[in-house]
Amino acid sequence: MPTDVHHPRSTLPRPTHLQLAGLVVGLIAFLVPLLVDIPGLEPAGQRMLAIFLLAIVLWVTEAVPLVATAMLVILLEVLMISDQALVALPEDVLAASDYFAALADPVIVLFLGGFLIADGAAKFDLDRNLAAVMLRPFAGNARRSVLGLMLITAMLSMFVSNTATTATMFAVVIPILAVLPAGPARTGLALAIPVAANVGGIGTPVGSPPNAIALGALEARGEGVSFLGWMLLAVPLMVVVLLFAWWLLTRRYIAPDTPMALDLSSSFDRSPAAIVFYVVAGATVLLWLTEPLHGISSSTVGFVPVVALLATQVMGGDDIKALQWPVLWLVAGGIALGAGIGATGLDTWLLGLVAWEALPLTLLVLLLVAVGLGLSTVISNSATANLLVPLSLSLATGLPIDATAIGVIVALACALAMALPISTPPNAVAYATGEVDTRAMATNGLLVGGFGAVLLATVLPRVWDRLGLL
Amino acid sequence: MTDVAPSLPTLRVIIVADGALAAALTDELGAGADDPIGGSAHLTGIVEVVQVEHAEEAVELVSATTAEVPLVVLSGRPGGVDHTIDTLDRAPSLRRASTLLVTDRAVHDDAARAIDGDRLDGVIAIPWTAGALRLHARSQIARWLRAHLPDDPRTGSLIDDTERPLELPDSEMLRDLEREPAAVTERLLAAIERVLGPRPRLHLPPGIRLTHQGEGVNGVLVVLRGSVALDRSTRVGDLRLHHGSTGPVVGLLSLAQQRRAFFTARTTTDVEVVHLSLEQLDRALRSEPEVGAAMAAVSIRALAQRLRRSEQLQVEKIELNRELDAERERLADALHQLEQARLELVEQARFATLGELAAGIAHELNNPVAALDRAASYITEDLERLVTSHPQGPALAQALTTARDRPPSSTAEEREQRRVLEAAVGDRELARRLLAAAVTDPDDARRLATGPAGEIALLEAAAGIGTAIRNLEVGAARISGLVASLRSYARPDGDPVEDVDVHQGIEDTLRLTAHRLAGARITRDYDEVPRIRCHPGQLGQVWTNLLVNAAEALDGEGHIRVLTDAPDPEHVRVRISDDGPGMPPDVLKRAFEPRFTTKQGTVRYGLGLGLAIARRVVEQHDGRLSLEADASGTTATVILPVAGPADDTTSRPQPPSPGG
Amino acid sequence: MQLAVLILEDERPVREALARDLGHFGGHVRIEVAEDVPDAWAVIDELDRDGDRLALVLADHRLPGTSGVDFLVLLLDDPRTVHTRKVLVTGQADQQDTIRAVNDAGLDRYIPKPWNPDELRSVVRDQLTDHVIEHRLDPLPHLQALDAARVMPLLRTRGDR
Repeated sequence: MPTDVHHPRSTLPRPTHLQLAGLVVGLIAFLVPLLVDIPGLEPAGQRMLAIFLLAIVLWVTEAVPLVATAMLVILLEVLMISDQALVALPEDVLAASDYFAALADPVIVLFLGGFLIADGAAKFDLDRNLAAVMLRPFAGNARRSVLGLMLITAMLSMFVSNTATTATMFAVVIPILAVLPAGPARTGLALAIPVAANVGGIGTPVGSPPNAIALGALEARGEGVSFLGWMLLAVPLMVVVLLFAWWLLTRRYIAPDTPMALDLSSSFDRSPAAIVFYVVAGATVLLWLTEPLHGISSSTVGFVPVVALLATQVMGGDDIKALQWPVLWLVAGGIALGAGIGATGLDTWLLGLVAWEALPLTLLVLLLVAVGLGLSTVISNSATANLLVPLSLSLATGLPIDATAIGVIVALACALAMALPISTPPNAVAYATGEVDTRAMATNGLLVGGFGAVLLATVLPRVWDRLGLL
Repeated sequence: MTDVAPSLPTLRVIIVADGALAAALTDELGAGADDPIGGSAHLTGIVEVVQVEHAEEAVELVSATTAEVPLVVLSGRPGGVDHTIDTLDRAPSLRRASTLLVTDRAVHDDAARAIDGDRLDGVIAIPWTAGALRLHARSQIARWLRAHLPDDPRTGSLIDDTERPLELPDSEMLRDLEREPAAVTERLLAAIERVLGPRPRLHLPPGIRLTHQGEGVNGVLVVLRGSVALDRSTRVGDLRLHHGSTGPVVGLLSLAQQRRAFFTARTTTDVEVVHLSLEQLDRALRSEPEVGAAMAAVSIRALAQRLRRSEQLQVEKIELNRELDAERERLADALHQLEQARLELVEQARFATLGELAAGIAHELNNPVAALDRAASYITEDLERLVTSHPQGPALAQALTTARDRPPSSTAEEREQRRVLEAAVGDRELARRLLAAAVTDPDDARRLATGPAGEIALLEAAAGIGTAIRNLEVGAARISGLVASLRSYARPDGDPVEDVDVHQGIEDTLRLTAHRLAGARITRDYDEVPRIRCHPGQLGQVWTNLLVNAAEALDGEGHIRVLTDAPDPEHVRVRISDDGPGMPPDVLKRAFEPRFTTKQGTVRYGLGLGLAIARRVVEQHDGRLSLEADASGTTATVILPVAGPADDTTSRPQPPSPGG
Repeated sequence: MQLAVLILEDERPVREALARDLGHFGGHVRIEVAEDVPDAWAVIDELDRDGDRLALVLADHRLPGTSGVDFLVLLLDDPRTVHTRKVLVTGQADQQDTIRAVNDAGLDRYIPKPWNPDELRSVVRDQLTDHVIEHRLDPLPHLQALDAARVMPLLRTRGDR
């Protein structure tokens, strides 16, 4: 290739009609609470309401990138409802630094560690090799192979982002897809990966951003959940939904006699750097799982691999640059949003709008789950969690239910949305392969998500209660 | 004054001198019979002595008489011997005369021409011993008479008192030199035997070595009978250097060479020899002077023989070398010619092979092409029948026919059509497929876009078949054209073909060499020209070579013009010019040399032989090929007679004969 | 934004055959054809207007007036096409041309005529994939025209949302 001296023009993407509408509606939604006097709401609350409405519109329409909205939320909070507000507020307000602090929230730190381990796993091909090794017991029968693929996908997805897991597993699956005859088997296999990745994401706090958002909001209320604690709450649901999905997909798409040859070859990187990484990653996961024994918080533990991997130069500046900072900042925006809602009394006002007490608790939870599921089906899971978690947590204050349960339930509900290609990146990848059409994705996504949502709303709180996990 | 018969010419000795010297000379030559030096020959009565002062006088003198002049005696006066002799030479009789120079000068630098012209027979210093001059003159006259008037009775009278002709030498050795070799040998042996007593004769068979090269020699052998060869062993083997020139005494030469034998002497016949040890030889020489004289005579004669032999060999060697050089030059020339002929033959063989190959391919291609062409029609017919049975038959047949008969349109037009359809159906990919399905009407497009999903695919398939059939037909037609071109290009050579269209040949060549001409823009400027009689295949080579040369001169991009016209009704002219860099004159001059290429330069003749072969072919058509070049490019002009080559022209251009 | 493939071929049957053999890609990438170099530039202008990206050019070597290699060299001078992958599809190219195509035009591949359709598609897929990977484009809109396994790593760094 000739030396690249040209700088191609970087063209800005042209806004779609929806995005243009989003900008207009967002502006209106932002201005109305500021211009119209809302009874029962303090000026700070009004301003926060304006920010909140703007965030809703922007996150739903994606008129600007999700992360931009998240950053905009922090900026607007600093400019409007902090001690550095352009127009000062009469009440006591949070310091600007409190809003900025969301960018370095312990949950963000926890995620940072998770991301670094996930990226390291990709760098040293650990994920793929682990997948190959773990797949071995499942080889032979097509349905069993699919079960293996799904379990391994879910397992990886608990520690690695759902998208990265999907990419890794598709790299394993594409050769299999290529030799499968066109037809249901391909659809089933291509669906199994994103479903498992989505469901697997609920397994740990670092599994997907909604978990972090919920965790961050709970910690802000002093009701933090440990790494292991989260797993105890979420993994049972994960396993059940996963098995259900496997059963559904294999029954619908994959005949037992479908020929399916898995590539089980593995070659672990045995370089010193890789071995250091294995040790650090293993130690980190072990420390996360043993928090009750040593009491070191998962965030702190999450910071250990950051230091260890950078200090040993197993990973470096380039790896840090390659981290998914937009995701971290999206989460940070959610945390800041929650903080703002709580600090301005907007939560109390919102709570007062509806007589929640009149509703049966189960119905209320069902409603929350449905909203979370529905909203995150069409918009970003993280954005949904960002919007919904602060609201539902404030709701919990007036209800006979544990706030932790509500937070976890909402986060998990967001993760169960997988009915459309746009619902989650794993779905988008599966759809882009051309093996899955929207219809199949919608049917199965609704069935799996619905099954999970019903379990989540109705059975799970009782199980938690029974087991005394809360 | 003379008592000779009047029929005999007077013999005159002319003295060119003056003063005291003239008197002394006249006196000496005219002196009486008593000769103090020796001999008693008389000049008086045979010649008359005339004295003149200048050469001019002598010339006048002889031109007035018929007298012969055997001798002129000159004085070495200042004024120049050469000048005097030049003057004398004006008279033919004086030119024949012997010339004696009598001089008192120590150095002469004025006689070079006389020596060079062999006009000076003796030089005598003043003063001379009385009688010596006369003796000398007498010998000169005797020699002159023997040479010029051998039948004259006076010639015989000039003998000395031993009845010896006066001009013969008197010393033993010189006389021995003039004797028969065998006689001298006998005299030598006789002289030796006088000292040593009778010597035993040794009889030897052929092949006996008498001396050994490089070995010591302690004696000599006198060969009385038979022959001995002298061999010398050299780097290139044993050489026989002397056989007839051996001489009768073997081993003598080695005496001058530290007694080492220079040759191996070997008898070649039965020989009779007498052996003499060095001591015996020494004694004989010491005791008997005649041995020395005979030995010297034998040796000198042998050496002279050998010298002559070796000189002759030297001359022969030089002559041979000259011949060898000439031969070598002829050979080199012949080799060069052969090499050129070979190159041309190779090239022609290549062409011939290619021609046969092309003819073969053309022949073999005919059947598949015919099959292709027919298959395309059959598919069309069968499909039409099949399609009518389909529920959507008419639409499908319509799509098929439309696609097949779709006139060629530019890609820009196609894009425009697609844009129209895209505007109608709102989807580019769909618009593309509709266009592929031969749908161009926006209304049809809208109807199909909203209709059943499979319909477009069906139409697309039908139109695809139509397009494929058309491309099959077009492809088959193109192959047919190429086959036709190949066949005419590779037409087997035979008798000249009548009625050939030059343009057709050029077109065929252009088609077949299209890949070599890539990048060049071709302009044809064809005039009405008469059809000619020619070997079309050979002319194809000419066009190929000229076109390819033009393209290579362009080296990629440029312009090639092909012009044809008829300069007169009897000729057709083809000009092929390029706008390349042209050729410098020295390159142009050598462009027809079979091997000429300028690889580093701007002009390349990839075929190398191309132009040479082209010219040969054209010349065999009784035509002319010329090349002009300047900075604006090169033009090759071919002029061909309409009548074509003579009938006896062989089918293939012949290679040049060596030297031709 | 769509990825586009441009087929530059002066002979209609060959052009049609190439376009048809690449029909599989239709819907995933934009296939355009041009019969000569000026029309190829017209296509490039149109792609630019539509906001599409010329990812690959399949050019015949022998074209009227100019050679395919010359066109490929010119592509390097245009910011819209400097990153376009270049493939020569030709029945004949002497060594000189090929060397020039590789050295001066950054030729990526060479497909001899007659081509094998599967091989042609595989080359196009590979070239598009290389283009996407090299410029870190979002592979998802074009995934079916790409070698999916090879572009998956691009998605790994993408993060959930």
